[in-house]
Amino acid sequence: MIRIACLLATTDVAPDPSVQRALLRVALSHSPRVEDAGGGRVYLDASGLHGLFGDEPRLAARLCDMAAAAGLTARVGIAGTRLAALAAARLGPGVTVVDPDGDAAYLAAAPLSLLDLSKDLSARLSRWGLRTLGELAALPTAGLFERLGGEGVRLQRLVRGEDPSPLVSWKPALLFEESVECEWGMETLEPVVERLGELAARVCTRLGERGLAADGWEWVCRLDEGRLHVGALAPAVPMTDGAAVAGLLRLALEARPPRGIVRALTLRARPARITAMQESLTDRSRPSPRLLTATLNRLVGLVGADSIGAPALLDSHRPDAVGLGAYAPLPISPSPGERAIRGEGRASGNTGALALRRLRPPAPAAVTLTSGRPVALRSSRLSGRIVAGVGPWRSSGEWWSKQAWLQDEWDVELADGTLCRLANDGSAWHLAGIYD
Amino acid sequence: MLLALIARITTHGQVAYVDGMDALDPASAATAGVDLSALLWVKCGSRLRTALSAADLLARCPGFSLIVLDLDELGPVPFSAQMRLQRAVEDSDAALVVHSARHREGSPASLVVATRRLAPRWMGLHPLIRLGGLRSEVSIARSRLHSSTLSPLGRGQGEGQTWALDWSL
Repeated sequence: MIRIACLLATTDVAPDPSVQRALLRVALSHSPRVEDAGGGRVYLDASGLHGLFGDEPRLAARLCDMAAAAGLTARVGIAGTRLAALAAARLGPGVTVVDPDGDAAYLAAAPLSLLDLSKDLSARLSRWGLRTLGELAALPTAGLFERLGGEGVRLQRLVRGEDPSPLVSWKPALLFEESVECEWGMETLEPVVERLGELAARVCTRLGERGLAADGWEWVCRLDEGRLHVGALAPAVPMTDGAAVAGLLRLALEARPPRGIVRALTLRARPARITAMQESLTDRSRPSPRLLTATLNRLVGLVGADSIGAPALLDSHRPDAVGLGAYAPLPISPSPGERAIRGEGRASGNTGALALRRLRPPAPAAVTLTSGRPVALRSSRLSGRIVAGVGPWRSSGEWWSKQAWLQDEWDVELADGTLCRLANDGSAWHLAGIYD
Repeated sequence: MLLALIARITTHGQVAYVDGMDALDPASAATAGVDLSALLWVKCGSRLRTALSAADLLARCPGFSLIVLDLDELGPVPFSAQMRLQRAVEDSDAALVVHSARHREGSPASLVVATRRLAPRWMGLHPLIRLGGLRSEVSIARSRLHSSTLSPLGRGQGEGQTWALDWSL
């Protein structure tokens, strides 16, 4: 026989999430099956707990005491269904146990407000003259179905002490975190890295036991005088290899070491599930995730995080509108059709596209004009007479924002045969690039 | 020509592009057929030492099919750095291509290819309408490869051979 306990926080105002979490912790410390009903209400499966906590009144009293120890004022009801347990918790003296098979009788005198009814349905039942759950239970089922449909029958079954729906089990979020305290303090980086490596190995072991990996790592170093040194890293691929993670942590800490004596360390992993997939012989070759992650982190230390990644064309007509996305090599090459959709390549196998080499930033240039056309160029990179040229190709955009732009571009040929692109933004000329 | 090579490699492998002077134009690369998702772009901000270090790191990371070190106007490259790069890629599956605006005398490269602009191609006569493309000349300046490894350019071709190539805008 199923027995359900209702743990109800008694607060005058709506309980905040911390109250709900505390209730869930109390419930979970007594039963593995716990349902989070929200609003300061938690149900737990009280069946078969007498061997651990004694009979039901003692279990209910213990739940009350544990809630009080957590700083909560709670009422407890135990019955055969959730509704009866709620009624016992809400209407009883504080700790109430309803006899087995006595749910319907117990609920008969309870008010209709105990049910979470919509405003319309509540008004309708009120117009029928119903005040208690017992009156609803006594109505003929067929007539109730004709007037309220399946919802009416469901409510009547509940108030008759029949609740066929099982508890919706709640599981706490997995927290992969390890900490260590050092009474003597760590003044140099080496012991800090060593301790973090040990923590990473422990976290990775726990992740591995659950078939998970981590796609993000955060660490907190507690320094003297209560100061904190916080850092985070996101490997290119989810990792479970403690040694590899330790290597990454070393690189990150060497790039930005804690300024002070470290008293305690905490390492936290963000778990991610990896779908096991067999590699194909026809897939594109790519670097191993571990080596790639280590190499990318070293490169980030060398050139900076904003200077490395996969180039991405931005959805803009602004000249040189490119960005850098995260580099995550895909095993499968896009098909020619996919590449055409993505706008890559003018034709399959086309190897004859003229390349422009950009100058970033564009080099300031002095351009001589005759009849509005450039005839001579002088810049730090290129100088000479212009023998041919086409333009201007005018483009503008984003006039509605602070990043408004307007630019005239010319493709010109210098006397020595060099092809280059000039740009004029209305105030000055620039050498934007050289055709290669 | 470099983009054409990268486009071909990205169909089946990963390419790392160490951009010494931040000169890569991804729009041109995409037009040339480069799969940008298979391209790792490392911008070095005109710092020669940084570019050399980045190329060295990438050369020691197995899995890349091609590593491009685009130095353009940067240089000169110390001979010790050239040897270090050559050793790094010698035993790996990756190829290292160094692009430079000037010919590097005495480099330890297995193959030195020189390119030269011949003539641009304009569309229209009077007036010109737009730039149509460019004809360039490619020649093998020096080769230490066995002739059979030169298959992309023509089996048995050696030093002194030249080709004229057309590039369209």
